[in-house]
Amino acid sequence: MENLNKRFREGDQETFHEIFDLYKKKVYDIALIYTNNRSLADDITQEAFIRMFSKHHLYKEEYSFETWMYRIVVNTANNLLRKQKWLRLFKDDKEESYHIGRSNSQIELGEQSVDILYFVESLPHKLKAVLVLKYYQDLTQEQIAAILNIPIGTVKSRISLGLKKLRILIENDTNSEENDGYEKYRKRIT
Amino acid sequence: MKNTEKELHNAIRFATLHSSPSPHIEKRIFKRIAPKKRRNWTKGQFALASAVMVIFFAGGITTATMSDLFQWNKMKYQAHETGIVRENVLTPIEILQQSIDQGKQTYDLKEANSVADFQILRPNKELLPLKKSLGVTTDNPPEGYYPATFIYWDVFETGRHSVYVAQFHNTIKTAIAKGDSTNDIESHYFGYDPVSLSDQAVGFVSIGESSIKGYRKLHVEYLTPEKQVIHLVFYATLGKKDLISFAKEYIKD
Repeated sequence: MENLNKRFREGDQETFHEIFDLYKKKVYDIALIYTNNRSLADDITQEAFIRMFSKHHLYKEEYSFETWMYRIVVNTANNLLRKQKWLRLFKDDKEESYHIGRSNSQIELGEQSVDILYFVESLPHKLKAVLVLKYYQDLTQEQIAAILNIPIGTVKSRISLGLKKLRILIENDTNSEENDGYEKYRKRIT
Repeated sequence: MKNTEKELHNAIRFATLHSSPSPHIEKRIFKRIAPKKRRNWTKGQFALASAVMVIFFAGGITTATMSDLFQWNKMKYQAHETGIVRENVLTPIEILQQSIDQGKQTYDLKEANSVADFQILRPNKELLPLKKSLGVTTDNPPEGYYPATFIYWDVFETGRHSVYVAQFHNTIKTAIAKGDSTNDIESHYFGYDPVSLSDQAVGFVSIGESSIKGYRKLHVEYLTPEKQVIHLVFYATLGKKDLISFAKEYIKD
């Protein structure tokens, strides 16, 4: 691995291919959870790898490659979403069809059907980044602190706040669905 | 809270179970970061490119010359070959007379030089009154006038070159006459190269061109046995060395 990192820093093209094969799924998954949108996840993956490969000389071997990589991915995702926020103002609702789709990611929890990722996407970037790294990669709080360049205490509080907000969003959604007469009718006939 | 964590875990696991980035992403990424290839020129291509460059610049210069962009070039040509034909040009005698008539109180060397410059711009055939030691004299300058008004002109034609010599009988006491250091004279000819012509003569050659385009200028001051300082100005298209040797010969004669 050390050798791989060294070759990466030196800008070896073959190593770039190796690293792409090794990390493409991880990067894509983070982007997917982050955005809940396959098309955007593709864009983020592409931009993150391009940034990584073109800035290979900035990577310092004494640090973990994954830490450096995750930081790039999170920053790229934040930048892209910030741009998307403005672009959405000029696009029609058809764009939304690129979302994973609630039916795909619905998790059956008794009678409750909830699309968690849909709510994760709607969280603020700061909370979202911490939750994704924690629950997708199972990273320790120290690692997350290193990636996001924040104190461990902040990581802890963001995880707690993120989960709390997520719970509130889920509950609100469940209540509104139950109160919706049309939704009940739809469920009954399908 | 534990429930939410579990739900999130499951949702993430479900969403990422069969996920993979689009296959064309890899192509796009490596296309963007691929090192740019340098163009390797073959000898033929290099020669062709050089030829195109030469034609381009040569064409540009020719066009610029033809469109009178280089006015100085044209002027130089006229001074050398054809001169500027002027009608009713006053001779130095007339100019001096005119100055006296106008009641000028002074007539210094600078003005004499400008007369010389003026005449040289005329074509050779119009320089007849100045040929071979024909000159202008004001033997008896009116009171208050400097006596530096003896101007003789010599014209020499050496092959393609012409040398004009303006001579001033200058009785102004110079450093040479006084026997002072020649440093004083050198400071007078600032921007000229000092030249030793003989024991009696000191010269100062202009490094570049004189006020007349295409002509080099050499000032010479020499002392006659009668302790009179003669001031000569040589205008010539000769090179620096040739001009100095010409001046030496001229003084010897």
